Amino acid sequence: MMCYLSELMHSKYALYVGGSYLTAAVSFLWVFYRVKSSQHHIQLFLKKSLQQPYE
Amino acid sequence: MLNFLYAWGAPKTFYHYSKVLSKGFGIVSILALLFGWVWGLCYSPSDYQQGDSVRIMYIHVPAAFLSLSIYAFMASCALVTLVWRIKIAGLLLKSAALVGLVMTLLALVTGSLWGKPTWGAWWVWDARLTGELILLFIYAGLLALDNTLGENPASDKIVAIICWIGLLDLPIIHYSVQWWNTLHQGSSLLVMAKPKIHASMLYPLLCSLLGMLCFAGWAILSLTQVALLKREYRQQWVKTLEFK
Repeated sequence: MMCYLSELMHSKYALYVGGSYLTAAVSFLWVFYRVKSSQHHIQLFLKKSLQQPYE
Repeated sequence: MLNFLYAWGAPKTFYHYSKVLSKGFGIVSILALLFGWVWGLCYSPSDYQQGDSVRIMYIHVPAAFLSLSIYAFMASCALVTLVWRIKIAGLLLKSAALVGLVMTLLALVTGSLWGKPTWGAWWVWDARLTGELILLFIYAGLLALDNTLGENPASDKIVAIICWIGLLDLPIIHYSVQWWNTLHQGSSLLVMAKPKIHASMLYPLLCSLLGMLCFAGWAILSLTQVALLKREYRQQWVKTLEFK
């Protein structure tokens, strides 16, 4: 299978293609961060609520 | 069908099976995305008309497909919330809105990055593009409404009703290329028809689609689990959970 990456790097579309993949990667990483941080916060919240059984 | 919905929609049952399912989605999404993107970026040939800008399609098409599919999924959840009052459906709806917003934004940005070298413009007021922009505002509006209502008991119902009103935009986006003479091209990939694109481009596209679909599934299920724990934290089954 032929690799077209070097051709892409020198083509006039390189910036547009690179920008698209970068935007997608950043978007997915942001969603990943949102999910992981909300999971972390809910775990802290549950641990705290277990320590206060009468509230 | 109803018994199935009630059984699987029980908070404890949902939490446990969605944990397993989200892990599966996570693993498949990483593998399929890596495979699909590397294939699309390095090993798929350039198009004879679009040149290398066709590689943007490996992100744009799945993102646009998901922006519509996620909304259709949200509308189904809204129906379940309003008719059968299954609470999990309301949580799924709200969690899906964030992922749908990201996918719509991604579809618009990548579409714009494809449009500049191909059409010569970042943006045109084409029916499909405008419909997609309206969809972005609908997603943002639903998220804003949910944040405003907070833990209000009626919030699930209100968000579900507004979600159904926004459903009008979906057929407009999907059929705009057939109803009107638009600059945006028609669909190259339809479920019920033979694909119009060559296998060397079709397979990386399908791989990327699978990866993004599984990523969306993972994110929606994970966010729903968090929302469920927040809502049910006083229940006994939540207190017995162990976190690493």
